[in-house]
Amino acid sequence: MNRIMPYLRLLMRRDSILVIVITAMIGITVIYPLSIMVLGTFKSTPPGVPSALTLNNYVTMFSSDWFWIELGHTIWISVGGTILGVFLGVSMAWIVTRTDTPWVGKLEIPLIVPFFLSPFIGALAWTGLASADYGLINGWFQALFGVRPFEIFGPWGIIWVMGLYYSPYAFLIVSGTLRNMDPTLEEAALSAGANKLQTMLRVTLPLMAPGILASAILIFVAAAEQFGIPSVLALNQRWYVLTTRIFYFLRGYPQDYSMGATVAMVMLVFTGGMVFMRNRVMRHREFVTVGGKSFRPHVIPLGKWRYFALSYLLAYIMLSVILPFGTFIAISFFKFWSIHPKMKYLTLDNWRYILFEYPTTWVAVKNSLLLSIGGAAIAVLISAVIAWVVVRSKAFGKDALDTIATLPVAVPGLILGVAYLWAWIRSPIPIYGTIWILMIAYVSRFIPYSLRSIESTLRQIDKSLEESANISGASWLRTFWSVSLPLLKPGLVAGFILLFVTFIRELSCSILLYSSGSEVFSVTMFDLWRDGMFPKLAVIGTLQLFITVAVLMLFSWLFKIRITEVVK
Amino acid sequence: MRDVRIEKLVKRFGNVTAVAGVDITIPEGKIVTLLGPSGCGKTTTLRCLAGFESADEGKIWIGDQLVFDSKQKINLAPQKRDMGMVFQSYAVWPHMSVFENIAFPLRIRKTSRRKVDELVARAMRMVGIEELKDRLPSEISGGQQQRVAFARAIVYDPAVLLLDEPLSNLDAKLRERMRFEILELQRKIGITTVYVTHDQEEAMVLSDEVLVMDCGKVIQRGDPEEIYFDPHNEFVADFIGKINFLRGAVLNCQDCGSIVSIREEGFQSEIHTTRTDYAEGKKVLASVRPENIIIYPDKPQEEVNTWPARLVRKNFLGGLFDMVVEVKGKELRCRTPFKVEAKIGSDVYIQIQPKDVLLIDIN
Repeated sequence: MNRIMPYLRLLMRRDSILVIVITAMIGITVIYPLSIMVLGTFKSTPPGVPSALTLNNYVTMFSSDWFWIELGHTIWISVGGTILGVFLGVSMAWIVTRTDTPWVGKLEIPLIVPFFLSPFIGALAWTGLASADYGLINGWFQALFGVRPFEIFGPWGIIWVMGLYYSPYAFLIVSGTLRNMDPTLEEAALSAGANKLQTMLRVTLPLMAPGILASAILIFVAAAEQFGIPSVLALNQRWYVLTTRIFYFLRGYPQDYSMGATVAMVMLVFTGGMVFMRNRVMRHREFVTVGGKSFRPHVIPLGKWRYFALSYLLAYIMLSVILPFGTFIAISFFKFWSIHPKMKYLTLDNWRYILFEYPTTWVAVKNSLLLSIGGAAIAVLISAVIAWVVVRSKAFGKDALDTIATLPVAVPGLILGVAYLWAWIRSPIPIYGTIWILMIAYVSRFIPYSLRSIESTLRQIDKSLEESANISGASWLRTFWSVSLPLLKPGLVAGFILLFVTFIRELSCSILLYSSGSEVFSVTMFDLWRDGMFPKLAVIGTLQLFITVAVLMLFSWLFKIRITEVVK
Repeated sequence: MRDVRIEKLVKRFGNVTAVAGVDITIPEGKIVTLLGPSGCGKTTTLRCLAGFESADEGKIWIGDQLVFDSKQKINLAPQKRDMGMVFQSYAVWPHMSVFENIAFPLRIRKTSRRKVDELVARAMRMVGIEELKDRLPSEISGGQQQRVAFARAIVYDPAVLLLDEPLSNLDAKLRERMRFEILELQRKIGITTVYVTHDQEEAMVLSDEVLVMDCGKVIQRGDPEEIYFDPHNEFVADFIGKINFLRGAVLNCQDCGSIVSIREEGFQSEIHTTRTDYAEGKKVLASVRPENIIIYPDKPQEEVNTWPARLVRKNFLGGLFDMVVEVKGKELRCRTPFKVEAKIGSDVYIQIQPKDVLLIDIN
């Protein structure tokens, strides 16, 4: 008994209780549904109907042709999207941080705008630009050269759109590495006799390597689990990837929950493996390269190439933001969209219909706002508590908590959707079919993102700042309110904005979990897309875009934070 | 002749002139220190010498080779200047082992593998880190990283060694030890060395010649003792060591010495000095180092430069007493290794020997 007592006392402490409560919460919202789903892969009946356990699903899947073909498709688009995204991101990061290209200071914010935009809308918008049937750019080529060279539908279009909208991940990570790199590391190579090229290849590039690798894995996982882009650009063409196949099993005819779960299981193992690999790689290769004296990094004069570099950056902004989103907004004002949009088809009918007649619009606006603002607030609050326990307390099991709370990173949104269906579609808890199942899914899936931003802020706040408040007589609550919270504010606001932007455009989780009355923006667009009502969905998309921008501006004004700080 | 010569060097950053016409000659095999407070232009001068900054005006020679000339538009790249440099942040590459860090300059020079092994081993032995060969920088201490940086800078036997505040990130004890090690090493390999620091003790210990810099200019040069015992102006006197200034004017100047009338508020007196060659009426600072003020509990027999005073502060620093005395409202700092019995607030006498009174011109 005496041996156990100290442990019991440790367990009974306030922070230990927090650990237990939070762990249980994550257990119920993530681990339990995933387990039910895994169990489902061994069943031949839908959720809630008992059946004997069998390996038949796996046998069927692995002996089928479609599985291997679509696995190949997934790898194809992920590798392609990663190569393009990393190439764009790294090259732009290098141009912005290390060359004398004009205007780079002013271009930095435009360059990360795609980070905040929905890749799903990006894909939709790009059909308006580069579809062989009705793409504007094809129209220009038709008029000039008599050919329509582009076709956005299909794998190359998917790779193109993914590359465009995932390159900011690489840009942000690599430009951070480049900017924080101690310039004397490069100077030391120069003074040791290396020329600029040797310095670049043997010092700069190896120091960038962890950042490049990390962003490559990040983009690869994001591309593999992406549902919106391949569904817009390839679903009607019956060109499947694993995510669209899962969707097909769960929402197509005939429905097959077990096979859906089995394919989901493959994706889960795959993304889990990638995330695990990334953590392994990063742990051993993260270099602290921040030095003492800060001289500006060496800027490489590009000469005439400066203007080439500038046009490259401008072209990226043009292709990822201005052209597609300009077109997208324009489409909402046309009766028909074609390669030569005609003035006589200009109309406000789409807007009138969506704003005043389409019954789902205001349901979606209300739900999306509730989920994105409310959900982000709840997630930030929970993350703050977890971060505090992990960083500051000596609670029993806090490291395990950190690991468990970060776990959902490895769970693709669509797979979490599958798991929730399995767990709660026939559950006595009447949560399926309500907006709350979306709320729970969003929050538990994306807590790792806000957690990371808050944790890193908290780690930077020296403990002595809090201790000196304590010693001067402040209670822990007062200390938290007057010292910790204000210092944490940047992390909290960054976490909030990150989640807000993610939630308001969320598709892959919602697409499986919504039902009548709990529609959100992206599923409304998805439905209109499948019904072939492009101009009308463009109105919804434009609404989503404007609401996002308005809330972001409100928040950056309210909390006096620059949007660029969010993504650091 | 491998002297390093810097001529009329000027470097501006926007409106700020960081280096305002500096001339420096570093004789071959000597160690010269650029000493000054932060922002005095010492690091910029060093970086111009290394080739990391290109100066706006001036010339730089290494031996017979002109490596920089603003007029002829000559600006040799850093990697072609044959210099070794140790940075304040060490700049040890985190992705290479200790061995690879040190071998890097040799690999760039396409040295044969056998020779690389031999030279790196020698350099590591010299700085005493043979056992760290295969470690990564993240696995060794700051002091050890510093040794790696040092070995890397000398392994290819460059013509000049540049040291940019190499010790300022180390703790006090280690810093003191490293001073002697650096000096010993420099003497052993006889490399021409430029050392930048803001730490005057470091400069005193290490240098053949000290150049005191302020506001982008070299304001005094000389060996450490000269700089300490014969500062040419208020800034140098104040920056090197501690000193008391007494504002006044030369009253009377003869071959055997002069008398200065002190005109401090409240404290008006005359002070004798052995200095000569001053015009009568010239405004000067009579300057006295704290260790040259002698404190007596009772009135001493000698009356020259003797004043009654009050002990205001007394701190025992271990090894010496650091005190402040007040003479008619003027506070003077004094130091002595001998035990001082007087209590704070008690009356004492102070005395200064005429030979210890320096005169500094007031500009």
